[in-house]
Amino acid sequence: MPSPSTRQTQMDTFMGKTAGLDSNKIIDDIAYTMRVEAKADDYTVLASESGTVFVQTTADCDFTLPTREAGLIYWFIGSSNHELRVTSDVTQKMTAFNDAAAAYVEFTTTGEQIGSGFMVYCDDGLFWNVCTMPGLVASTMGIA
Amino acid sequence: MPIPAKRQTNSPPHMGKMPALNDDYQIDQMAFKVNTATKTADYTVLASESGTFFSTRGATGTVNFTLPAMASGLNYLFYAAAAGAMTVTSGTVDKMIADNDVAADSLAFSTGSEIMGGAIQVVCDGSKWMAMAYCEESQTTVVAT
Repeated sequence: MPSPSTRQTQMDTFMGKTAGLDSNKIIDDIAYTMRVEAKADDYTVLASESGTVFVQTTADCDFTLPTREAGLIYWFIGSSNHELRVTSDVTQKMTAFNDAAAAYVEFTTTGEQIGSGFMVYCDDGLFWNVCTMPGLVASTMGIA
Repeated sequence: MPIPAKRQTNSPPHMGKMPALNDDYQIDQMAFKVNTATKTADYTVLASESGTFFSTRGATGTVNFTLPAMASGLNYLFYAAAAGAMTVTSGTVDKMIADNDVAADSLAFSTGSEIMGGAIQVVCDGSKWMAMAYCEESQTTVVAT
């Protein structure tokens, strides 16, 4: 039997509440660790890796996002002086700074790459929304 | 029987550990999706929507998100996916920390051509909303105090 959409677990209810959830059906005070993956090459991200922090390490990395599905979320961080690019699964389905129909975002300027990154999530309109995290105030992001 | 504060589920332990929890009682390497919603007009956010990522995709004008009554741990993200200004406003004046202001009322992306792609994440500590902006280096945030 399908679980009601307001449930976050499939446990039985106890005194009218679902186990581990508060009265708003929210997991209260959640404590968790994030999955972290180091990459030194181009990589196609999987939907099953939603919630992962990808770290670009010793080489240029072009991360290609999976088929869009509302709620998918990823972090991409540069840890070396190499290029970091995040590419939409489909062109023109990514929103970034002043661009409602981008294909990819990137940090490519030498000396501005370490610590720069993106948080990317898919909204319910099935667009990838890019939240920019410059490593420096002046880090320049590229968009195409 | 009361549930220990460290537990995140009520399930019985398995081999001495809580299901899906590590030795620190955390959900380890959590894989998750976020709840998403789109608003094209002013909207008062609900406490029950904590954790939601809101977008303004499709909005033709300005969108103002008003935050709910403060409670520790409530958190939201607001993404400017349209060209119109996006403002996040505390439900109570002077209760937002943002842009070097400990008693702000709101934080916004409202400068023409610097709006789309901006995002504001807020977390409440019970007495203030901490507002953090994600923006490209040339994007300007505007704080009201």
